[in-house]
Amino acid sequence: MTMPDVAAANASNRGGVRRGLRIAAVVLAAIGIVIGAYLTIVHASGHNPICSTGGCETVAASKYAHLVGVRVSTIGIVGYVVMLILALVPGYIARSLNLAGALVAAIFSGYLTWLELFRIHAICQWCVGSAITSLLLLCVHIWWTLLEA
Amino acid sequence: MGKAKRERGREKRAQRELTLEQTTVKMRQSRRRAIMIGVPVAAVVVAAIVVGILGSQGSGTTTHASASKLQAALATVAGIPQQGRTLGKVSAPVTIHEYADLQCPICREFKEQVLPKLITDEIRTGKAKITYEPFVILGDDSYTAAEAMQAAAAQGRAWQFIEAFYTNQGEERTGYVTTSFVNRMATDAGVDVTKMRAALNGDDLKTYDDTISQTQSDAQANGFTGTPSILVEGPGGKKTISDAFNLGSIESAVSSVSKA
Repeated sequence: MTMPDVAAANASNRGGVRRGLRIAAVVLAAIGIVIGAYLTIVHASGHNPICSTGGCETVAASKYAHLVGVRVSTIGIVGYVVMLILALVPGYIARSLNLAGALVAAIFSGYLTWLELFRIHAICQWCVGSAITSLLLLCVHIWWTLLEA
Repeated sequence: MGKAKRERGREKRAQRELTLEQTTVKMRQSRRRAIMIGVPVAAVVVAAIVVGILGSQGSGTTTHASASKLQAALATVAGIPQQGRTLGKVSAPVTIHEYADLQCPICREFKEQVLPKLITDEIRTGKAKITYEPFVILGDDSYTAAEAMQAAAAQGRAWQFIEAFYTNQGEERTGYVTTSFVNRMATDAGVDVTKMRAALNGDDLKTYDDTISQTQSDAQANGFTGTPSILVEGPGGKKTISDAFNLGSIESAVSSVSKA
């Protein structure tokens, strides 16, 4: 194999990884949107979410369910939609913004989990699901950014 | 001669252009790296500051409820008979056990959002009575509050004390549950503070502490790990409520255990 062949093989390999990371980022953001949409719709319809941990209503009824007057689940939807759109945009600026968004989401999810454990004293499975999604999203975007850098 | 000079000039120009191009590429790369590192770092700093502000909001403060707010809270339980920590008619067939901690903010929210309707529907109608179970989960101050609540219960005013406490509740674990705070809550609740202090400094304290220990064991036996937790008990058996904020499930449990 000549030098240009090796370079071409590396580039093609990197292209494959990049595609995989983009798909993972889109899928994870979509999962986050579905979780947020489910909680928002259930709340708006006056019903209770399906809850195996038993604390979803307690969390939803707490004062921490709103941030500056907006429901946390709605903020989550907006965040994940932005992350999904950015994941479809090529270029290093989009990667940088994606990583920034994933970091903010992970910090915010960590704060919400801390609230559940030490302030609300109740656990909501949907919030935990969203927190795990944001952590995975952060891993994907760190990898993707390193690849671009 | 002239040709060689021209050749050297061309080489120099090419060299200059190459250097310029290399500098431009380097600048572009460093700008790219600065953006790729700088934007996420800035985002982390901003997010950390925002979360820090949110997390520290209201810490170390107690609310000083207005007289009208206190009166509205006390009106929730006004005119209902009390025996110790139990609110409601003795003849009520069902007992709702509320496992709660006076420092817990979600217990206060339960008191504000669920309890008024529950009292109207189930307690005032004589279908059920409700017992406040002092489930201490938030440390020494909660222990102090639970002891004082029982001293108020000895004077038949546990629920007025609970209402006053929650209405003035501060941020948990910030040391606001001082002797003067407890005395103020007792005064608001119509409790004789001198008698309450005598009970808390005398032999009765042991009984209060035993009740707190027993409540811990009962809570564990029922699988409760947090507050508020609800157990509904009647001739038809016992039912634990997985989510205290689901008023419908508490009321249907009252109905289902009311008959043997």
